[in-house]
Amino acid sequence: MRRRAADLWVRIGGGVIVALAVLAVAAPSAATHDPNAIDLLEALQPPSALHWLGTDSLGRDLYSRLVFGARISLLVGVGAIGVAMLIGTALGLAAGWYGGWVDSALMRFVDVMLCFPTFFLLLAIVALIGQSVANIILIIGVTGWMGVARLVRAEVLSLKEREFIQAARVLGFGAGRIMWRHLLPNALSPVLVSATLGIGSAILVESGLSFLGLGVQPPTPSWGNLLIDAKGTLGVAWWLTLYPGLAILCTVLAFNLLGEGLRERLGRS
Amino acid sequence: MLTYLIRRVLGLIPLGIGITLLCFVVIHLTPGDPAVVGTDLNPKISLQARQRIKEFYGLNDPLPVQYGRWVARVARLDFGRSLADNRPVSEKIAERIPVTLTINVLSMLLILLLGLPIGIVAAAKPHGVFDHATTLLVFLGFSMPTFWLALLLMQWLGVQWQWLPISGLQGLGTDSWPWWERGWDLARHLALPVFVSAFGGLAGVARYMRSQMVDVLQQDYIRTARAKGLPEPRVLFDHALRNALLPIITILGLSVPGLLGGSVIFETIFAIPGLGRLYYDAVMARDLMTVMGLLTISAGLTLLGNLLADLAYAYADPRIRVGGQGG
Repeated sequence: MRRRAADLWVRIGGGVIVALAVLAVAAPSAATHDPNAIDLLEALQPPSALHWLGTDSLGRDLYSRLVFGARISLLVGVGAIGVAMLIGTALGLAAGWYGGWVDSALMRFVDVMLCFPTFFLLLAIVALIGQSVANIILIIGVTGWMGVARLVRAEVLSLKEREFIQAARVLGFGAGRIMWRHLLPNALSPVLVSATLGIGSAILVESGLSFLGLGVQPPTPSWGNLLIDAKGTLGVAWWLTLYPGLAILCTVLAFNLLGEGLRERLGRS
Repeated sequence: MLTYLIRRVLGLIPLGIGITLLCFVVIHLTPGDPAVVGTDLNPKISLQARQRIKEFYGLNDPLPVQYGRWVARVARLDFGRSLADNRPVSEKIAERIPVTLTINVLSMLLILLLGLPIGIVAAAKPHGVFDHATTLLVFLGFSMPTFWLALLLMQWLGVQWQWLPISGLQGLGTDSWPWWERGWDLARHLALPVFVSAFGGLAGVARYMRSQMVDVLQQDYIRTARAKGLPEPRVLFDHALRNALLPIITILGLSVPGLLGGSVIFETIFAIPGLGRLYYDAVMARDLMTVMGLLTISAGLTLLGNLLADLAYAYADPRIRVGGQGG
């Protein structure tokens, strides 16, 4: 029962994500209009055959902007989690393998990082180093690696006592080789599950930052800054509020379904 | 209990050092001297005068000395003066704390009031209709961009149907109203922000409560209770609930930074003068002193939340405080 539900989640989530990735890659041909073409005569038009999801206050086609926005959201989500995995895995491996003061120092650092509200840290660093797409990816990664580090450390601690790791040590393999060839591959699956869930929350964080005006800069369309326009046209143009939010919700939901489904399967096998 | 308390408080010291150190490093990574900002483009201020300013603020001392001095001041809750309006940062924070605290306490109550029963009912019949509906709610809660939820609610409840006010904490011209009408006005202003800030946490607590209950319901003492013929409600509420509730205390303590961070978004949307809005404004105005003060205070509040949760847990579960070095 539970197993079947998990399979369904994986299929739905995975399907949505693949469809979205195709749409994002093919954005120039999938879009019906130039996402930045201003046409004031067509401003604030409700959805129609010409503009599938309506137009914004500058007459730009909302559907085309959403399609191009998908590129930013997926790029930031995947990129940020890549950075977080890199930092978290490296520190988690080091803490778990070396133990002792290295472990205590790194884990206290994790505790300290977790004391700050993530959004406070994000805003402070964005304001310091500026808000290009690369910076946003870096910042979300740098403030989001703590969970991965704890997870990897826990995996390493339990793997360390297993025979095949003991054997590798007895054979005199170096720490680097053991970590890279033996520990990492075995610790990877739970990390990948948490990464899948992390992509969803990174997309949420990016949209929140953009909505506050501290994310990706307009006129580059991102799902978060499309909603800035929505705030100004509240009660006038419902489509500007509804569709970008739905896009974020469905995408994050897809990543969460995929991640939870994978976790469920992993727990059984 | 006292030894437990002392041990816990002592454990906070390294964290406090780490927090202040991190804040201090962030200030000094910032381009431009904090005390020279605002004077560097002013041609009337000579190099010597600038040197005197630096001397006055002790900016020529080695960094460890500066750090020590800063921590000593922070320990007395002195965060310096705001670079934006020259008022003491601690004063600015103090006047904003009640607003944010009220909203967060209310939303925590709402989370518990709705989340716990949902989790319990879902766990009572795993894989029933209600359980599946709860799973859906949990997924929605984790995937919902809360600022979008806020916009939707503003659009329909606020603008379209005019049921609830959508910004600030007070209606226009309500100062002369009697207190009960002002109270009602405040409650109406708080309704949307509290609901929006509770939404994500609600899903988390409901899910946690459910899995906790499911675990407890598989224990031997539950089977004993059922075997001796106790009615199911008594099994659920007297025997299972008490044990399943304990870990929720820890979750509440851990939720402090999330709630504070979330307040940036909804206080900005609903134009509420709280800590989140203050932080956002300070970041936008590059008001470093206020940013540092708020970062330190927010991390301090998190420590306090964790400490209170630990103490509450130890109070509720004797195994913790007697258990010696564990945890």
